[in-house]
Amino acid sequence: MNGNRVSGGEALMVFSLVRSSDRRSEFFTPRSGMKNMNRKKPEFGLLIDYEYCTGCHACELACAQEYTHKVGIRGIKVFEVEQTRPDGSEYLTYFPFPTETCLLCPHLTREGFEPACVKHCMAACMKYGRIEDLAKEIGVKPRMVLWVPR
Amino acid sequence: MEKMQGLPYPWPAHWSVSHRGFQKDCYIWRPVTQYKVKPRSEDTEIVRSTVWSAGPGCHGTCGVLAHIRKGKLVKIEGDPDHPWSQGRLCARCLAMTQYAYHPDRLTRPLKRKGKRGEGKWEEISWDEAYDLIEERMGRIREEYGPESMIFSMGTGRDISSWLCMLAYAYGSPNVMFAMSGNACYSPRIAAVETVLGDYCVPDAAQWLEKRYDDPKYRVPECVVIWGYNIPNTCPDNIFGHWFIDLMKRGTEIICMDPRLTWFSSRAKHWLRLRPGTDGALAMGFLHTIIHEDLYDHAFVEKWTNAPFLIRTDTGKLLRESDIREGSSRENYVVWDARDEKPVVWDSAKADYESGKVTAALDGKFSLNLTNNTHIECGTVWDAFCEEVKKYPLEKVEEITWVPGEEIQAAARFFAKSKPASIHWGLPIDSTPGITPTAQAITALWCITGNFEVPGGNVVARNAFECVSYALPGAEGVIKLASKEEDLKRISVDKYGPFRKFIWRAQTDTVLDQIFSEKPYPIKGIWMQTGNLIAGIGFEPKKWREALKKLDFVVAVDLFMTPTTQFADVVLPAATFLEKDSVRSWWVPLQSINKAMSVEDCKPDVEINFELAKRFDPKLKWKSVEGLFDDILNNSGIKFKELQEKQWALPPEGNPSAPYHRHEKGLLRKDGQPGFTTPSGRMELYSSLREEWGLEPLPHYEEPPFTAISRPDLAEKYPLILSTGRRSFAFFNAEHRMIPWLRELDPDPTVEIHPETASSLRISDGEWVWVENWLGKQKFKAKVTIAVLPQMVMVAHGWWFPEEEGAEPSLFGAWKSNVNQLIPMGSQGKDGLGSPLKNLLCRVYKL
Repeated sequence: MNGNRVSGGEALMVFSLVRSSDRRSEFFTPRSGMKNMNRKKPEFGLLIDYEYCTGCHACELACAQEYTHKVGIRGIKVFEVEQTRPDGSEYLTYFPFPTETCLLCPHLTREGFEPACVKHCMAACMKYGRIEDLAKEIGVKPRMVLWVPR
Repeated sequence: MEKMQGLPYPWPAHWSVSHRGFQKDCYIWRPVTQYKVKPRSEDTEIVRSTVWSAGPGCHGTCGVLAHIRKGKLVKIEGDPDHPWSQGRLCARCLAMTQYAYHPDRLTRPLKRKGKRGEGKWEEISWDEAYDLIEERMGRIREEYGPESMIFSMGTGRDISSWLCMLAYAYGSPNVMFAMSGNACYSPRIAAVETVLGDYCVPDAAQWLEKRYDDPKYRVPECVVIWGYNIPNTCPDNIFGHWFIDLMKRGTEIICMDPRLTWFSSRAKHWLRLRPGTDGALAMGFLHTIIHEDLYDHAFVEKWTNAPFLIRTDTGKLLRESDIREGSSRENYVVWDARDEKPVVWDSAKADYESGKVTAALDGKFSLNLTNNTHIECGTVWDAFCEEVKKYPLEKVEEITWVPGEEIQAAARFFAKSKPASIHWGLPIDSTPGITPTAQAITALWCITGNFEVPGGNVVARNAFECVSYALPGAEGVIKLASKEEDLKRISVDKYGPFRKFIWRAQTDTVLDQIFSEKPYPIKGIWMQTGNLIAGIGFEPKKWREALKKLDFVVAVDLFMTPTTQFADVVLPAATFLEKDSVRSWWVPLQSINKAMSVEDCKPDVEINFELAKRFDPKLKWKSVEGLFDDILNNSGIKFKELQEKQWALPPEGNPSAPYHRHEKGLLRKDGQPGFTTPSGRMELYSSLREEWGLEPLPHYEEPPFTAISRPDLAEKYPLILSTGRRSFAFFNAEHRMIPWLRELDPDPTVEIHPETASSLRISDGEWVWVENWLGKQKFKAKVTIAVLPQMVMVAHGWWFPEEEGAEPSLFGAWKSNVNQLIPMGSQGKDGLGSPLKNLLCRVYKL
């Protein structure tokens, strides 16, 4: 750009930047759809055995401490799900869910450490790794989920 | 990824202890950090320590790595080399950065200006504070005697030791654990020691370096979780998630809990009992196990007092002095079935008088007393089985609401599992009938052959028998100058367990004495690690009056609480990262290492040591380190050494390490096989309780405020009021001011079943009144299937640090404080237990 005048092509670029610039940050993952399926594919995920998640919320605090998140912001949230089965029996599931804020701790993982939540999980029910590696382990037992947050 | 032994699928390598490098023959861990730690930045130092309080609030033991930059904590994480916690750390500990530097944290000693409760303070220096305290407390000691000063604690943690040190240096025996009926842990310890001589805990390989991978260890087939929701909190030196580790290795769970919890959903048998009926359930278990002959005959015959004779005329144990002139009252008598004659059991030697004896377990036998009167005797085993017979499954079902077949199936599964262990929680203490309930449960793990075996219930003693905090039954280096000084301890004349095991003034008796001033007046109180008004004191308005009545009140705390508002002097204490301390309860032996300091806060041990020196110029220790070294004496390790090595596990052969110690003579001081009970055997019929004039056999007692014991109250207050359930976010009344934790559990809740809620027209999230004959308080309804339709579970320990601290608000301590609905003075006949989980209430919309 020179001065205040902008060429046509540049205008298009600036326009698209301006549209999403207010949301552009490291925490932003663009929406996926047919048009951008060839973009960089996710590589890493979190394998969680929610049979053993005890709802201790250590993962939430570990994430909050790691990033010094403000109150109300978390990279992972644990949900409590009370269930009644058709035979009347009851079950309590605790369900960790990596949020939009989850970065999968790249500053730790590129040096060979685990993400903060995985490290501190009291029930040792979380694993971090490449999606294809984790995919081999899912289905070893029921009540597992493989999250790919970004 | 490495496969862990016994697991069907691989898990993160750092959960496995076996591949770590350590010296095999040495039970001192060398801190080999194979796990690289990533400091926050170049100038960050990593300090290893272990947890106790303050901070997470808990009873700790977890290993931590504190990242310190320029003297400030920037990050805390679990220490993967620590055998106890293996790098795991809970939400409360992870919030340390917010705790340590909280803007409301007390940083300078404060002296009251204005009236108590007005919330007006002036900052003074430590020297001024010490001088003031020395002068005021010195005056009380001179005029009224040292016993008129109470030293009060909540969950004492390591600070209980220093509280005792200060109290004893001052000359007062009145150390008080400020809960009604002392109903937290101590009653269970005293009860088990009454029948077994030592306390027991479930064995999760915590004494073994290699933990579950150690070849000596056996993963229990079954663990009974009796009234515990462990994932939310790690109580009493048990790391809650060990049971999750064991479940992954195949352990099945039997869960006794009226609430739907993580454990109860995954239990093989979930016994959803009526709150307060644990004693009946335990008797039901015994009924099934004895009637279906699922018990270990060898243990019963050899190690329990089952064969001891009981006189049918008095109903009491037959003593040697009854049948032989001039002999000992402490010895007992059995009937030799082969030789057909009575044989004396010598309690001092923990053996029979003469050679091999085939003691009869049942039958009636005739004997002559010293005055030639003829009497009949039965056996303890007969009496025990008679008592158990009173609890057939139909009756237990009626009392506990648990179907008889379920009780039977669970009891059979427990008895047939080898090994099996029982882990129990506060519901056992939460009834005045705590001791007979605990006796029944202790009998369960003993007669099923699960005592002192790998994976069973093992004797727990302080590591290396180093005692800093003298839990019931223990005696350490911190003690009163003489036994005479203990005679003035409040309630020592009233209650047997307080004479024999629990070195505390019974709480309800203290409260009464503050008002009655009989036998002597109470003039002052030193409060440390406890929040009487919002946390541990029941009927807190009474405690408020008590505090206002006293001449001098000192509070040591980290934050202003509703309780500290009534103090004359408030001293700022340090968190666990700001102090050096020692831990030996139960295992391993470890040090807490100072990593930083915050403003003018001092560790409790330093505060108490300074004042102890002033009150007792002849104090035994010259420095805090000298005190630690004295505590560690039995281990042969000095404090500085322990700080470097971080922790130590007692080796096998040490009386504080399992297994089979009763067989090896490691429990008794004289080295004889047996127990440290009066008879030397496990007492199914308790001789101590007989001495104290209480029922010697286990049985069930209906709690005092239920629909069955008080139908008049139940008419007005039809719902069971239960409280005390643990929150993963808080430790009791702490942490309400920590943002990351408060957002997890922001409001005081009352859990109501959907059917009950709809009949009362209450919706989820609505604020409601919970009321009983003592008052009413507001709580936020959480409509959940977690509770029974007939009960509500109210969250405890609630006050609001964000509100005005001065009276009348007192940080909102009178708004949602369930303690207002719990009575004082309902302790059991032995001074123990409180019915806080089985009261009555009604709930209605605002």
